[in-house]
Amino acid sequence: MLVTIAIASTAPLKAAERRETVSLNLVDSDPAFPVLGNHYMNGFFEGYHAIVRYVRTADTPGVDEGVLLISKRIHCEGLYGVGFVLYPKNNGGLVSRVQWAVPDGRDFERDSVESLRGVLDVALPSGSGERKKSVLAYGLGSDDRRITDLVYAERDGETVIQGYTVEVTVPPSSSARFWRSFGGIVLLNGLGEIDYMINIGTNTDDWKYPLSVAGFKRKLADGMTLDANNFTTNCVGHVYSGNLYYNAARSNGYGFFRSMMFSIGGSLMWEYLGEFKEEASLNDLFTTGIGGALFGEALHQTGLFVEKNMSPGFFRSALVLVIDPFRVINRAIDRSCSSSYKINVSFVSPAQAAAEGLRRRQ
Amino acid sequence: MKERGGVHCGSALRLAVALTVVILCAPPALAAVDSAPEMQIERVLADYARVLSTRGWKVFRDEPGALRAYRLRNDYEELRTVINGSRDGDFETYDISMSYDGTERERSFRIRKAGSDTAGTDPLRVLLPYLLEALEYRGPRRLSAYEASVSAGYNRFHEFEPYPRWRIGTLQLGFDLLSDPARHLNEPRTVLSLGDYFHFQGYLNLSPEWKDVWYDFTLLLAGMQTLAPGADRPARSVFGLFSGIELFRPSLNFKEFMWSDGTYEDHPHIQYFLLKPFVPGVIHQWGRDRRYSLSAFGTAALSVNSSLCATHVTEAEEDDLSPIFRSKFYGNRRQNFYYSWSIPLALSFAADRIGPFRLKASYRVYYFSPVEEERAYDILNVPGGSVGLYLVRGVLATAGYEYWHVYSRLQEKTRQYSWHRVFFGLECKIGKGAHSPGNG
Repeated sequence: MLVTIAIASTAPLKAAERRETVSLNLVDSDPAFPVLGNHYMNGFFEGYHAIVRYVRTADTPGVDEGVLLISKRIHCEGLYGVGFVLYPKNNGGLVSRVQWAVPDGRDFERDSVESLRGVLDVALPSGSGERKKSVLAYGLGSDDRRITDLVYAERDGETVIQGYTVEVTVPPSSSARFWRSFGGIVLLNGLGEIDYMINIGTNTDDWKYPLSVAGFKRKLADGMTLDANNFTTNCVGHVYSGNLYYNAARSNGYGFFRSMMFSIGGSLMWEYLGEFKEEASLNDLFTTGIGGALFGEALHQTGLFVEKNMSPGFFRSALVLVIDPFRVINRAIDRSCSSSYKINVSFVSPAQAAAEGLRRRQ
Repeated sequence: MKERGGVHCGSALRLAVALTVVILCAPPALAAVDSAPEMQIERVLADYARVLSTRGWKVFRDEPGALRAYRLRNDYEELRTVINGSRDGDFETYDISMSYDGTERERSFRIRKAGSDTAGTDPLRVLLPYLLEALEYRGPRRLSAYEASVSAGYNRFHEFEPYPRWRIGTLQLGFDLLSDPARHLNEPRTVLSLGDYFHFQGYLNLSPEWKDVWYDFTLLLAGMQTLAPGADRPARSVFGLFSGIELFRPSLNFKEFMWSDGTYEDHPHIQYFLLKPFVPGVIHQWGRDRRYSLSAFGTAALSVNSSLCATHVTEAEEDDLSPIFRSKFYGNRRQNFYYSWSIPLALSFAADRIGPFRLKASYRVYYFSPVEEERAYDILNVPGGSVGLYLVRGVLATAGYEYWHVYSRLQEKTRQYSWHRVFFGLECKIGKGAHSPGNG
């Protein structure tokens, strides 16, 4: 009998752990702007553990039938835009309503996808069926999101949360950050190549391979060597150029080790393409790739120190430009192309939900 | 059979008793779903801790209902949260008190029938936004992550004369930037991560005919800080794995460094570049206001350095030398260096605010050995010290001395040189952390 009790005590837990398949209903209230329909056709929703249906406005399901996501054409920040309203599955308690708008600007595609992904990640179970954090904790796990306009009310002796706003700053996409970093390195190596050509007289001593495919194959086959270049070139110049490669990536949001990969990559590009006719130098790879990363981090941190300790203005910018030029350049680019939007989360009491009507027809 | 059956029944009984004990001792969650305020508080704080950790905070949770968190990302931020819960009939009351760098917030929440999303109002949904919103209200109590200074003064290297001479010597410009926000922590044990500590120091010597530059950058990769049990600012130790880079490069102006020139009486004959990927190190600070500091770093490094065994060598004499010790011919330039692996060790001691003085002593030693096959090595020893006098808050007059000694060996040939380096000048603390370490 005791065994039976033990099994009975643990059985509900096992049932609770069972994965639940959620129904996700998509509705574009303006058929002329089928944002959700397009995403549906593109397979955007396939990564979610949910039964996804794209339904016509007339057949809009109720919130008790699953997660309901509606898009509508609106005016937003002086532009046309698309507003989204999401009703997570109503389990008999408070009904959540999450709504946000994305202006129809240059980054509409990226912003709408990012915001949809961000909100759906908290409304739907992940592919593994697990959600390790609460909805809010998941949504705010980044410094790019901040919570504002938090509203509570005292109702019938009870503290009730009515809603809040999550301000989302959309950083450059990962592909944009990569290509900007890569572009910086190509630019640096291009400038290096110009300098190489200007001083070609001093560089011809090291030439060993013809400018041809066969020459390149021979260069690859020969591997790398320790060169006998000037100490200053090897231990000062290469470290400084490695610092620039590193900070081209670091100022694009990469961390220490990832940025070091860029400085190593930049060095390889220079050794194998920039100095095409020379033997690739192993010591240059170390001093540029690793030494440049360490020296670059030192200058990156020095730039941060200056910014934290000087008032904004011309002199501060000029000083940081000298210390860490890519930081100034990339931040200016970030300012010109970053975007943001707000997600409003509101909670509706059961009575209010009933008053609004659980079947929300558009 | 009967006996065996009796044994079987006895086993079943023991199993049943064991299960009873297990069930009775099991946590409430196993026995039944319990929505006691304590459990709800733990849910809320667990989620809060996850958000904070994702945002780079170091979270400490060693008391029920309490959370302490620190963020050391180029800054020092301190957050404390305490939630108390009580049950009052159908209601539960949660009292939150928080402080974030001096901003105090308190609020009481009365919630009906706490449980989960499916049973009325979820405390998580009500409390967590309040805790997260608090991150937007940082207080004015800012402790600087940095200690930084710039300096300017006189410097002279010489083989025999350990003192300054009029119109001989160089203008020295120095820079020191230390980021060590963890020094403000008052936790007995803290795991430090990449970038939580770094030290960038260097100087540049300039004169019409000569210049030399030295810099050393140390970056923490991972480490641990421990505090000895004690009073307000107990003794502190940082054990870490660091990474670093160091350069000493002297050169003549307007012409390449010709190591066979006989012009080095007033200048060092050594240059080196060290790449230190992994440096185990320890920093220990103790005494009132942690005014005493001792640090030790040692590692194996990749390096490039010159050798005394290839100085003052004529071109004709070079033919007898090992190829790696021949002057490197590159176009019409000649120089002296070889690629090496090395063992750099650095010990330093500082005592700050001893009356109006700051005392520093250091000892650096470098062992270089060529990566190419050659029976050779170079050893550089640099013991030194300095005295600083606080003129006003954040401004010191400093005077220092270093003894540089190089011993070189190439096969059976040995050579050694030494130089005295004297320097004095003014050092000025800069930045919002313009203070002596003792003042926190």
